[in-house]
Amino acid sequence: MIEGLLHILNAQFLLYMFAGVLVGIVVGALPGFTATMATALVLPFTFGLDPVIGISMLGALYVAAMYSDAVPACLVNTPGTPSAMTTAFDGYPLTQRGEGQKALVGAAFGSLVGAVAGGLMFLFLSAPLAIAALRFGPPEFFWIGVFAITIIGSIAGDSLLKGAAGGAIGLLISTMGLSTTGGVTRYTFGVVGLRGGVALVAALIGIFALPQLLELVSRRRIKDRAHEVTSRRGVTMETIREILRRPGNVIRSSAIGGLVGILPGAGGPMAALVSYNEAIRWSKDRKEFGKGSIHGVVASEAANSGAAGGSMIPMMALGIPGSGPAAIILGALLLQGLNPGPRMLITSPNLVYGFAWSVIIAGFVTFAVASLIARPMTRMVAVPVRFLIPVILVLCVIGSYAIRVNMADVYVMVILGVILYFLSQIGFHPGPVGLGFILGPIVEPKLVQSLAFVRARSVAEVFFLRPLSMALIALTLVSIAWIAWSRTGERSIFRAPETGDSAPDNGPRWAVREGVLCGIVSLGIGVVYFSFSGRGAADWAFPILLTVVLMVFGALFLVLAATGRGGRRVDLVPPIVRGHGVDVAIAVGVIALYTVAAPVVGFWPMTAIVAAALAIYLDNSPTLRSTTKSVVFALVATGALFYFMRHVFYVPFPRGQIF
Amino acid sequence: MRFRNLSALLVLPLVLAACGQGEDAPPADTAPEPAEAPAEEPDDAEEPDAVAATLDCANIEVWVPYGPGGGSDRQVRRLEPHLSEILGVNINVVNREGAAGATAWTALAAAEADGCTVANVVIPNILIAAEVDDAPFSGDAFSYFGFTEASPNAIAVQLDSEFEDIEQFLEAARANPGGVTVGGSGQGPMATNQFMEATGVDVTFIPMEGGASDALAAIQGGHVDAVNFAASHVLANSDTVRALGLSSTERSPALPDIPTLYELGYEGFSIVAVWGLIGPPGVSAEVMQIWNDALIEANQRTEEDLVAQGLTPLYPNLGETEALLSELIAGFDPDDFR
Repeated sequence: MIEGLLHILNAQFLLYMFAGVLVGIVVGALPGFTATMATALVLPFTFGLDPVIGISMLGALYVAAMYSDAVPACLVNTPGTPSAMTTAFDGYPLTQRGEGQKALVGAAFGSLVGAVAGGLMFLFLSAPLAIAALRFGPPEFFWIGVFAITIIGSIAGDSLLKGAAGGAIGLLISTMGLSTTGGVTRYTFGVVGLRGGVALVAALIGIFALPQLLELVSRRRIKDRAHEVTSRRGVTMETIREILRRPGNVIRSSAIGGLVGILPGAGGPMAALVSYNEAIRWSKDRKEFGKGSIHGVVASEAANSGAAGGSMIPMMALGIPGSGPAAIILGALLLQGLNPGPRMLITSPNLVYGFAWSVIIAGFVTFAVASLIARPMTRMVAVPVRFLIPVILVLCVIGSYAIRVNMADVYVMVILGVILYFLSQIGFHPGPVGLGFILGPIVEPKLVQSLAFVRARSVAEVFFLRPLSMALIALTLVSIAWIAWSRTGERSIFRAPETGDSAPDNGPRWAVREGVLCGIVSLGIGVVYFSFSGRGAADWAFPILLTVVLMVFGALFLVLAATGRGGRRVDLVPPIVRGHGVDVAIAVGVIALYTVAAPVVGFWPMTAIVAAALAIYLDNSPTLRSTTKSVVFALVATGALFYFMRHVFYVPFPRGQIF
Repeated sequence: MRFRNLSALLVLPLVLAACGQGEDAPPADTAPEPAEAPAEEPDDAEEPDAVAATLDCANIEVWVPYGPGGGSDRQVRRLEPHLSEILGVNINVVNREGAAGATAWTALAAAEADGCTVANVVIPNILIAAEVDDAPFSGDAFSYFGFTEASPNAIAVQLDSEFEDIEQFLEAARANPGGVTVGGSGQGPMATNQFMEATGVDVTFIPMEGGASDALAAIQGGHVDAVNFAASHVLANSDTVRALGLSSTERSPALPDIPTLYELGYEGFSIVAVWGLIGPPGVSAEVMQIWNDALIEANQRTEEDLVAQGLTPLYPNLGETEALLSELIAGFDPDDFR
């Protein structure tokens, strides 16, 4: 073990380590560019290297990306990878309060502890953990997914029913496209581009970033800058001290991350969700979560970094990759003629132990870099919104295009974003919807597989009589009971009427109760999807169940509204024609025009035009000087961005018909 | 017995390897064009030079229709540095995953046929996409530059499984119809239907998700009794998984101790996965030849890696590629999926 450490400690190793961390930080921070893509891109550079140095560089990249996906999550409410969704829940509110630096330091420190914990598990507990991971078959995975769905109870925001409906919508939409288990095509509505389903990354960009962007647009007349920055010295140490005042949180989160990480396919997003949920459950000040709790940021980041190390365990010990980057590292080893498996530890201990140490070292290198960049990164988002908004928009569009090089994903991103913006106006939280998107691809195939077993065994044997399944079912029941208990006393299903309500009871005629709108949305989606459902194949069981659930929720909303519990009145007119509604409508129009015209006009020219137009339009006090600034900014920023994407990441943008 | 033709396939590679190597005859007479390709050949104003040895591309894009880390991704990334050197053009590898490969192939069908945009292809996957999943293209419409590697399927069990050989496994399946479970992904349903037809047993198929990791976890954890996947996975996981039988007529050089079901008298279990490289429909004969030559050379350079991974290298010239494709298409039966 120590020999493994000595084997890797040399200048060449540290150099490659550093390179891996830098690439990882850049990639993780760009929404739509995943650690998996980056490891694949870097792979050819490892061919000539000593295998342990080569895979350590890939591992370092992964660890670094698991930190830096928190950067856009905290600063612009856009998870850099799906693993950072829960980071945004608290990181972004911190930034809004002017404490962006604190959020980033918290993320960096959480990631450090997570990476170290994951690395230590890899180093000392590989064999037992790998064997434990094997005990999870399809039914167990299904039950883990069901347990994870109860996390909606923690992240639903003010209304449990809205959270549940949002979760069902996310789960349902995630089943679109060709099913991974049976080759059944679901809910493509005849659109060829939808056959590949909804890309998780594009969906998360749509539901988190776009509504936030529209929100910034709608407020721009009040606030010229998105966030204030109260950057000062000593924040780093202060934040670390605050985190360490609750050592239980960071340790528990790292352990959860490592343990969930060893389950092949569950990975970072699931680890962060479970850890965030437990952080709330064990916390004394639960109400702080979702409003800017540093412990929420730490819980998420420690878990997804821990999962990075954890996912290497089944890869090394069993030859089963637990995550995308682990699959690339496995490929790298196979190309070097090394076959990971139980004998690996005997045949090449230096490689296995050296790699495990490198995960820990990568954690420290990442932390060092992260601490240095926390302040400058925070300052970057303090630019006027007219500069910030075009940049976020361009990153959203390029990111959702790049993930699978598919324009359909961009349209899905925009449509989901606009829908979620309006849903957020009637009190839906994006969290449960995102949870649905993350869990759908985990739960659904496992249900189909479990159902296939029913031909060989009885239903009870498959679903209920396996010891681990029973434990997970018990855990789920406890979780549900806890939700019921923690929410007792919350009489109102809907949030209390806010002061400054957009439509007081004696207001305009075009106002309805929030609950009526929620009911129409849930019922509508349920009915439409139900009518497009196929029959027969096991692949339809889950989506049909969801449509029924949504219809029930919809009916429930309407019944509650009819009995006087419909929540506040929402004015239907202002969002469209009055005040900030115009800004939002124009922004949506520009985004739609942009994405439709880009493949025709050419991606870069169209992006530059849109960025310049937005920067000029959002200028609250336009002068010749500021307009010139806007145009120069748009050209330089988008030009640099495109050059980088095209020539560093090889994103093949479609050639326009004009340019 | 419609699979009998196909089951000769694993002999074919050896034959093709023999005639593919050292082939330096001019392309014109040895390479009969695909049936419909000449008709759609682009009438480029500038007639390509008769002795053109390079492609006219600023960059070459090679699309992988699946995510990073899978068999197709590994093929492309293995060949990429060598192809780039041989062709003298920078190559960018792009993963365009989605719809079990159909997203990339759909886009390729509409791409410019200049040889600068190409994609990995897997048979039978592209035929499944076209004929079972109703993707908007036909499997044989593309310009097939060549095939590089093949793998038969293996029925594999846990290393310490109670089944010593395939007969014991079949015995258990006969004694308990539907009670024995077999996992597999991608071509799994087809392969398992073939297996059942060939052996006359009734097993329960458990559909796994794409890639081999799901199936590997299920077999190592004992959640399924056997898996039916590419034999190359058996070699890569020889610490944990053991093959009982293969779906080829000849034994695999990489797994010489494993019998084929064919030699045991079960004819019809003959699925084989073949990886290759394709361009959009209508690529010119000259460009096809450049690609075919480059592919053969790049594949020879990486043959050692290929064999170490348990894959059978293929070196067909354009004519042989066409012949192999026709045979694979003739042996494909979409009904195996329904």
